[in-house]
Amino acid sequence: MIKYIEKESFLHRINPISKIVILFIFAYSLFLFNYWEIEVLALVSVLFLYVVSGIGLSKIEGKKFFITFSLSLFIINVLFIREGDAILNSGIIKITTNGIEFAIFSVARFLAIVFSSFLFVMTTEPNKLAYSLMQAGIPYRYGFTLVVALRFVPTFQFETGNVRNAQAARGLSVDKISIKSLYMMARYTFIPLIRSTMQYIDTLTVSMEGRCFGAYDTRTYIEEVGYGKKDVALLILSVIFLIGIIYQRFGQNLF
Amino acid sequence: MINIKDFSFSYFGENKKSLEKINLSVNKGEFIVINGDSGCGKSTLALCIGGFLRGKGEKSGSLEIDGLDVFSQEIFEISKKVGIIQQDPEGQICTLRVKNEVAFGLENLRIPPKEIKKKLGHYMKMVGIQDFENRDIFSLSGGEKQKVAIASVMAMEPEILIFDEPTSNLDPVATKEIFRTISEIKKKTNITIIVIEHKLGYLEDLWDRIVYMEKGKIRNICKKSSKKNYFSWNNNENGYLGKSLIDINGLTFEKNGKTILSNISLSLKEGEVLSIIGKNGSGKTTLLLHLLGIYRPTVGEVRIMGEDTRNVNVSKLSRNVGYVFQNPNHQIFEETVWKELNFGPKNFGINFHNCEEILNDFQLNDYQNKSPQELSFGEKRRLNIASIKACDPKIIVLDEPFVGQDDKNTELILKWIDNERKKGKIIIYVSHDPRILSSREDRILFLEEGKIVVDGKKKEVISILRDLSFEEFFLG
Repeated sequence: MIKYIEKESFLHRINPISKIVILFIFAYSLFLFNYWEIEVLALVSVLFLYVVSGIGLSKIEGKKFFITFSLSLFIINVLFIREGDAILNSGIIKITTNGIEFAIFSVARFLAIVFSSFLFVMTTEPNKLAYSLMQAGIPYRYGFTLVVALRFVPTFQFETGNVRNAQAARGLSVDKISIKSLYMMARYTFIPLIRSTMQYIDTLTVSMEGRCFGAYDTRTYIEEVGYGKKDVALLILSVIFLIGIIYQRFGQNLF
Repeated sequence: MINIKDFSFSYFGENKKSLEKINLSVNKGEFIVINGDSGCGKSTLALCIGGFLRGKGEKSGSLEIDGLDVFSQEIFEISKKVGIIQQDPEGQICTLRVKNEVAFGLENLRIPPKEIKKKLGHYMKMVGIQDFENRDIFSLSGGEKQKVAIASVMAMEPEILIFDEPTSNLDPVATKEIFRTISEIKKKTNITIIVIEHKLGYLEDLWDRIVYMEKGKIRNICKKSSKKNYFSWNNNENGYLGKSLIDINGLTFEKNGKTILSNISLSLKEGEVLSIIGKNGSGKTTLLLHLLGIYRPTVGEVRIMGEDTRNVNVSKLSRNVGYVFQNPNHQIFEETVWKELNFGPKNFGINFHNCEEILNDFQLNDYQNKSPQELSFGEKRRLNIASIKACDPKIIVLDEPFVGQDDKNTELILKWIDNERKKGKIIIYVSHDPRILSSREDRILFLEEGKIVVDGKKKEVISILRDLSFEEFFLG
């Protein structure tokens, strides 16, 4: 699973909201250009950020999937695009420069977008994200939905383990995997988990209402998620960048 | 301060009254203990005082705090006056960091951050978690979580503090800590405190009055308690000991690079009852799960009826080892009590015909077509044990079977344990309740940090634990 990794890097320190905005601008700009060189440059930059932020490329999970998927994407593009200068032409198989360029283009764009999103997740503490969203004006009821969800993910993982053990103890076989046993396990896992969730909801409701959650439309926060000069500078830079590339792309039609 | 007059309450959709004609007035600064069997209405009364049951049922009579009618107020108006700490430390924490949790209520009241910080420091110190500010909630133990919950309620400076069985999920060491905290609060503030609790022993010199409740009514209010003899069921006779069914030799278990159990050796014979004690996280559950083959030794071996668990699969082991887990909700799978009892036998392919008899033994015969969902906590626990009994295993493992059980249920389970023992079964139970250990003569095994500290008869175990300052595990 891709999740937050604690490190001390500039990427970790950027305010989560600036980071989201930059991520979106980055992804959007990839769709504005049709040059394969730019997409490759973008992908290389993202991978470079993995190294610089201390996360390291080894933390990218599902490598097998990405390699197979990228290869298939590449081959399909190469085989189906038949325009342009032919490098190899044997009737059925025709490989062209256009095909190869477009194949590189698609693979690089796909990987750049996926890996940059992963990088965002791995360098952003979810709790900080929730709090910064609330402080930026998102109603705190929604913000706390996220906080509470994050709070209970490990609890439910633990409980699922307990339920599985209890099933095994009562002879619901976990040694052999068949469609029937998978169905049974899903069914008999779901029911107990719902039951204990209901109990958590009761307790949590009393606990949160008992501490005046929802008493007013706004609330204060003991600490502001920092919004420093660097965050503002980054935000301004990326907006200028966005305007720049939009002008570059559509400029002739705009003016 | 609190004035309750002829107060009755019944939840919507329920015929029976959860509270009936309650009359109680509590003065400012008073320390009240509420005691009674499970389902007697203690928690309902607490929730009523906290204002949580407005719109959840029908009431008559009056319940006032400082002259304010609780049932006509918004919850948060009452919450400013009444703070409540619940049984389950896990469920009542809603954020990921201690600091955020303790500040949560004050933030909701729109207190400026500077003031929050001052109060935070003050109350975290009072509760004994002054260094915890930046700790991750996930890194805390149950007792520490409960302290965070107390601090987060205290920070709002309520006039009344209600503790609803605050230690029933905790081990004896943590339990003692929580009661020490409560006594600290009592000393340093003039807060009115209401504690719902079975373990009166811990509260000795703190309380002013004890309210005994029964079936929704107040049966008795008394000023000084007489010492009660716990659990009349005390079977000391030495029964028959047959052949050895469990043999553990040099078991060491590592998980994620951490040693959880180290060099455990233990053997148990037919007709033997073993009580395992130790702090939460000392490895008790991990050890027991080895009997089911859910965990397998990193070093050493575990043999069940002669067979090495490494060579047998879980489903075969579970046929001989009946395991009742801590949380009843995690081990009830079917829609009716009857089906639930048949769940195990069906999976194992056992011809099961004494269902009625077992339901009778566990006093569940009136519920056979009911959904387990409708049962009380104590009844669910009896159902868990009955469901294991349905498969009639040779070895019975009960992980914390007495948590949240009233005296009646506890005795029923203890009696059953002794009956099974006489039939040559091995019973292993984990318990945190010092009252149970003190009133029985079972073999006791004390685990600390994954090692056996002592394994023996009560007398010898008590004296060793006293030397190691673990006397919390026993009474007096």
